[in-house]
Amino acid sequence: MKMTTFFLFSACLAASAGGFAQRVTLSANNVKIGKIFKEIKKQTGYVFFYEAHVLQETKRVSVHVKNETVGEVLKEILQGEPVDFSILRKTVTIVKKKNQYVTMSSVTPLSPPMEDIPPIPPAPVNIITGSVKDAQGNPLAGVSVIVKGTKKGTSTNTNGSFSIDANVGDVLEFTIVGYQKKSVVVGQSNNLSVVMEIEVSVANEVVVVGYGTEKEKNLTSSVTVIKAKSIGNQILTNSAQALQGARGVYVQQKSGAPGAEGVKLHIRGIGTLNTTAPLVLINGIEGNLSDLNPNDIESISILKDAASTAIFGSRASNGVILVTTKSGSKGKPQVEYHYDFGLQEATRLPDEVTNSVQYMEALNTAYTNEGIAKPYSDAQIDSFRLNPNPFKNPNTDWIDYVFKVSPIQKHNLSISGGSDKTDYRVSFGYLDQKGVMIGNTNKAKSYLGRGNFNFNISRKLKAGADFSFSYRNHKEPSNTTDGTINYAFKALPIQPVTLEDGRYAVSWVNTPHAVSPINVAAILTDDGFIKNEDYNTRINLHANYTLPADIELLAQFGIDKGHGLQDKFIPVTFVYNPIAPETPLTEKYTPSERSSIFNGSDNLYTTFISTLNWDKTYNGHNIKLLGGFSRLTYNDRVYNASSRDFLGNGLTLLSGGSTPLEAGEGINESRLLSFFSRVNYIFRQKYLFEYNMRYDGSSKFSKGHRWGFFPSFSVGWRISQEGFFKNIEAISDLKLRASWGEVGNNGIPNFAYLNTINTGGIYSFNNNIVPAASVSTFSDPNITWETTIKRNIGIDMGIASNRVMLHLDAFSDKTKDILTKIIIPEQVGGLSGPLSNFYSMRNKGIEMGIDFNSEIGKLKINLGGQFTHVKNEVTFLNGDDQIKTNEYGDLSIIKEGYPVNSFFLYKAIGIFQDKNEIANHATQGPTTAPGDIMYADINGDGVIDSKDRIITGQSALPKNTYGLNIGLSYAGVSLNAFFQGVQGINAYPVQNLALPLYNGAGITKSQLEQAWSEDNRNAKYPRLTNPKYGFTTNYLNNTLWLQDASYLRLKSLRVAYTLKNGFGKEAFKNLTIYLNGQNLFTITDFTKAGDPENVAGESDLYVYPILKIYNIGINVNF
Amino acid sequence: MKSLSFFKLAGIVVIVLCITSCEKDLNVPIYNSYTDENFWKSKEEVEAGINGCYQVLDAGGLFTVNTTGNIMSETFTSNAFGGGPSLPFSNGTLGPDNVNLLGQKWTAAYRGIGRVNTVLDNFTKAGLEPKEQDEIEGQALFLRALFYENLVFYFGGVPLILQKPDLETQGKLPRSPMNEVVEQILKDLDIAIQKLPVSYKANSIGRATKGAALTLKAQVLLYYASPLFNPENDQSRWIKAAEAAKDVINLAPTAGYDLFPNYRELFLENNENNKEVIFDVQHSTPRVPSSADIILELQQNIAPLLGLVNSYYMIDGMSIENSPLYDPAKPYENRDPRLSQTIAVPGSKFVGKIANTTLYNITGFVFKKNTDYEDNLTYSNYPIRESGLNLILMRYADVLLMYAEAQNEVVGPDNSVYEVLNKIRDRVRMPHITTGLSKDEMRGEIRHERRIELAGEGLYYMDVRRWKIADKDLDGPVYNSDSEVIQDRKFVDKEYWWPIPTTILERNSALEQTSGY
Repeated sequence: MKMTTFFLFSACLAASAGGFAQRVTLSANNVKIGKIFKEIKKQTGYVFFYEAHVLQETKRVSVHVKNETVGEVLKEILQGEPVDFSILRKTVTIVKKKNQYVTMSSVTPLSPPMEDIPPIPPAPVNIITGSVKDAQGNPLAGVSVIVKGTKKGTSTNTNGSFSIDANVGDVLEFTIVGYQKKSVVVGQSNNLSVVMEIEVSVANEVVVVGYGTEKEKNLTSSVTVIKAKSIGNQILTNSAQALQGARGVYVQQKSGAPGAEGVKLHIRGIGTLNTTAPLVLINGIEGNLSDLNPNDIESISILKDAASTAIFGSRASNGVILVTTKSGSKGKPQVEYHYDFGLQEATRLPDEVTNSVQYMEALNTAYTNEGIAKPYSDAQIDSFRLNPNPFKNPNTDWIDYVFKVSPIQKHNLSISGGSDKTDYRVSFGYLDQKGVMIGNTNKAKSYLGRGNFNFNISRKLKAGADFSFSYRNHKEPSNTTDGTINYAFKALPIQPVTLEDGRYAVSWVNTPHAVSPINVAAILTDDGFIKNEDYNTRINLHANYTLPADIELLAQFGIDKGHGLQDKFIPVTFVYNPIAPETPLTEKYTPSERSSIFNGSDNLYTTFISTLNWDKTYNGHNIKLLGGFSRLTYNDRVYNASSRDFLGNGLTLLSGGSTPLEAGEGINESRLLSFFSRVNYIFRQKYLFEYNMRYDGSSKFSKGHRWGFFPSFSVGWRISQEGFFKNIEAISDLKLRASWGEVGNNGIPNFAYLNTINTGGIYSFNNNIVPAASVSTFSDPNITWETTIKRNIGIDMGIASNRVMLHLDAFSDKTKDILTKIIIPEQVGGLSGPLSNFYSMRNKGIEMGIDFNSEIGKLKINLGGQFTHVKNEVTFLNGDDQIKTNEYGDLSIIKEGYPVNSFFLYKAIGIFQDKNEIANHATQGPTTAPGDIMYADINGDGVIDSKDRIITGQSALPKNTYGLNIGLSYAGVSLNAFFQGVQGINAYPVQNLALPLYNGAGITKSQLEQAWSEDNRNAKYPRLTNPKYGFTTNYLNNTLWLQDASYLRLKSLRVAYTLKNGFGKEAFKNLTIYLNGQNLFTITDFTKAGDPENVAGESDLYVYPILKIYNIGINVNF
Repeated sequence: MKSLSFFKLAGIVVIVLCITSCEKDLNVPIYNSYTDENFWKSKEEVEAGINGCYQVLDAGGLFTVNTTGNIMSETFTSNAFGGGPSLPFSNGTLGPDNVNLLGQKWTAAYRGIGRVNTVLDNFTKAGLEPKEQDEIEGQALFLRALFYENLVFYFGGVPLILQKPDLETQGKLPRSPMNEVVEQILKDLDIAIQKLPVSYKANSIGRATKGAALTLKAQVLLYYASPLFNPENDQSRWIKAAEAAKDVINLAPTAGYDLFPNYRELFLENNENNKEVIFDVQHSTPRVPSSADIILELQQNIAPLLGLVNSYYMIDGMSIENSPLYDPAKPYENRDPRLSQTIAVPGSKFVGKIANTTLYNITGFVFKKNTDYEDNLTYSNYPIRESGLNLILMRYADVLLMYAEAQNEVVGPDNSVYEVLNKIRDRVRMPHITTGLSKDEMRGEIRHERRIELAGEGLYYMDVRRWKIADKDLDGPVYNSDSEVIQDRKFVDKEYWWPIPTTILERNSALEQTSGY
């Protein structure tokens, strides 16, 4: 096949390709030293730091070298010159020769050069010697050492050593570009050992962007970067949690279930109702954050606007997350070990009525209110009242019984290092998490391994590879986690947990609609389970080769192989009725007999990317060009089988059953071909322009609708670089940005454009099973990309030497042709509607971030805040309003001019207190009685009916999200806190415990206390009735049951102590011990029975609770 | 440079190759499903298509023990109590907001209609033998008639759709007048009667037969002649109904239809597809199970009421009020044998246990009919049991009763009316109908006989509506076995016709709401 030809060719090309070299070939006569530096930079990519006046005293030189290292060349040309040099990685620093008084400063435009300092008079005192190293233990050359308050100074030599005259009590200040300033008080020792920490200077930071890197100061797009340093503050069970607190990102945890946290990332609101997950690329290859060890992350770039994301075309509309993993650096092997141990408990649990008499009377009242017979007789209630007994007439607190405190622990080990030619880093992580429900069926383990390797093969050819392997497993009860929690929420206080002899019990009293016979404790501890195992192996190979004319060719090939296994065994378990304990009752499962179900999945994803890069600076013009091609293939296969007729609960594999039942298989393939390019142009470091485009072809659409073009254009103006701005000292950096572009979303199923016929059905004739085929969906053959037009303007501002950084973005994302499964009139074959390019909506909003860094003596303060406001509005609808319903009818609507899926409800305006009020109000129905909800007669026709519903303008999407970081450190002690908040979000949960006495379930304490009765007229809720059946008037979807799901939560709080070069010996480089708490408290108006973070968007309350975790950890570097 | 020109050349080649092959590279195969274009090519595929239409019979809202399924509709009447979903039907609050209840029947019926229409549009493509083709077409038309019957006699006129689903042409169709829908049903059935075989080979037993189409025709005509749907009392409708029922009776010798000798065993899985069964929803355990065992016995969601129990005659053929045999202390003795064969009463044995009001706490009674439990047997995996019991929709006794009812309206109680009624009585050894009844007296006897013979089979709700006696039957207090009032019911006249649920109206503004709502 032709594509293969191309791939093979490019791979060959890559194998013989290369990039920057370490060695230099030069031939020059009588040139300025500066010019030689430029040439070396061109050949090697080495950067030179020096101040212009340093070279003033140097002579012109002649040089002829071939294939020499940079160090050797510099040694040669600088011999006899009054300057010294030092090389750190790829940075060359040139300073005046030792013992001449030197000034060191950054060449970055942000901090103007210091005045030259005149020599101090010689006054020999006490000679202090020492060495300066970086955090990895490598010597640092060229570090300026000054005695504070004097003009005495020196700098370190290539070995990082220095000597200086100073008195005891003097303060030595160490400074060098790229590192934090360090002050050391001279003590009795004449020999100092100083470690410099890398400075996170925003403007010079190199940011990973699509298919390349860019200096943050030159960005014209909206990108947020998270560094390794800020990760690792918490015990993360999923790498996606590392994005918490990033500007413009809302991290929502959908569940606390071990191994199935369901972390959702929303970048700048939700722009579509299809896949809202951002594209995640790990080292350039599409991947899954849950397969990634958080400790392996070097940096994360979050690309938000079209300028940054358009290069990813049809996959970019939800934003793009670029993860770079850590690699090794030159030097001896570094070993890092990290251990964490924590205890977990549920954040919020229902406050159910656990007094059986109270509960029984409540249900009787509900039935009486509806005019039907009481389900519990007086004799039954008296039995509970007079003879309470945990094994027959209990007051069981099921929630308390089912949920417990459980442990979690984590180990991480990494080794890294390297030489001139190679570097490496290998790591291994292990997580063991138990669930907070009793039994052995909610827990998770994961094993994550990774290796990153880089090779400088020749001057022109560089290559690298990273490999990762993950194995994760988690167990659930056979009834599924949420299904079991549903049963825990539905269990009634009248049910004993066990009989006296320990056998699991059911209630001897029948309750209408209660699921029977169910004992949730038995489900959690019996032989049933669902065991999920996920394997993922990734190989990522890449190579750079420098072509003539400084064109860089990059080729990358990635394979992602995933494998999922799910074994499910449904046992037969017996429960017993206390008044007939001899008759075993079979616990209710679906299906109702022993069965084993196996689900498997296999996927193979391949990525091939090839790019050409060209970067040229000439006379204040900087031009960068990028062109590339990529081909992605996705191949997913699923298969399943089941069997029944097991002899017991002992054997659980398929072959343990004697009746093979069903087997199934499905394969889905899709491909994405893309061409993309980028042009960057920077004029005089002030005016920035960028153009991106991508041309994507996807197999998900029919011929003629496959190809999409996604361009973007952006500009930036670094005002602080302008001459007129030089005098404004308070503002150290100021940049304006603006961008426009189009991106797409291809997160839709394959073949949605075809009318497919389902053949999986069955029917039986005379007990012979026959296959049944049917069309179940109406299709739209013309569907195509949904596109989002993104506009963004932004300001980045640094105040007071960038101690305060301010980012402000205003954006408008307009998504058109949103693919929606439209609901069609039932009369059209009762079919579900087609996926259709149906409507448009706009997310308008602002995003703000402020960071404050300061030092007061030894106290370092770091404060950060971020706020995102999104206003969602449906702007165009190609047809009728789309209405979503639940069991009570219409619930939400997609309608022009309103937020998407706004709640569409009757308006509750109070509770009828007496018959007069009912008579004087619009007619609500024949059964309306005092205690029922009074609805507003919106259209004033005297009748409450479906015409009286209002669109509330509230939806399950948050309007505002915000976060607050607090970081304090003093000497080795540090404190970090992170708060997350969501505001302007609603939820409408129904079913067990969301509505009182729903379908045979119990009632919460507040629902009972707040239920209207003759004696409780000031109640919040209507009189008790049956919400699922019976008098549903009070449960028509209405504003009374709509809940505000806003919250503010302390997501994490960490106190740490770091010890460096401990115990005088070099036993370890540093050691950190910390205490950490997650989800410690929450401020919300939401029902106590659920957590606003994971219930938002759900239709019921029974999801695995979010966990509160207290943990202690240790981190050692050797 | 040599290498440079090589790269240049290679680059150009690559780009050209790529662009020409890109489009091809995007054509990925479909592994998982047939499409409209490649299906309907073989006999097997067409048969799977018609099987898919039968599947809908078991869907919620049509012939099930759930929501508004026919068996559940017993709880809308004085026969049974249902709490739960049936409350809107018994407390006078039925309205368009009862979306789930009402919508299920509407959606399920139109799903069936859509599937049938798809088959009818495609079945000729497979090049089947004419006989095979006729069987497919006959089954499809029979099922379409059955689905429309389930709409038109509840909602009145409904959109009449005869082509495969298409949003553009069908999405905004308004209601067609009721008579047009009924005429289409009869038209479909007349063709089905011509095309369908009298019986099938073993593996196809359960498919629609000529007899089933004739019976459905008789049922539709009988309903259409009844007071609610025939307000002007057009006598010709009764004549047609009687003729159609007579046609089934005439077919009986050929088709082998007759009453099954034992009333209770007629409804057990062991005797499935017996000679009395004309059409049923087929079940098979464990893959296509019936949920009736659980719903009726364990959950008691359809609990017989005292009113139904009291309406069974004594073995002398007299009501409990009139018969000297009735002993209030032993109310269930000497009763029409069908009582104990239909309902487990307190003190009797069922599923190996003595029934009592603690065990069956909703009304004190449970239905035996439509469960596969024997009186004296306990079951190993009790109480969760999903048998493969078929749900009978049409049986020969019903045909006899339909004939009696129509014939009585046409000519009064002639011999043939007595004959068929007594045939039914004979099976359970009940005395014959008193001779010399007037037409009105006979009508009363026939209605009573229908209620008893067909109790729990999901026909009574339609009967009380079409006879226009729902306002009496469905109103007032209902009682449990201890004669305690468990609900005071209300029926509002507009409830003779069902409203169209709000959500369905919203999706098609051309639909007009049923009057009164």
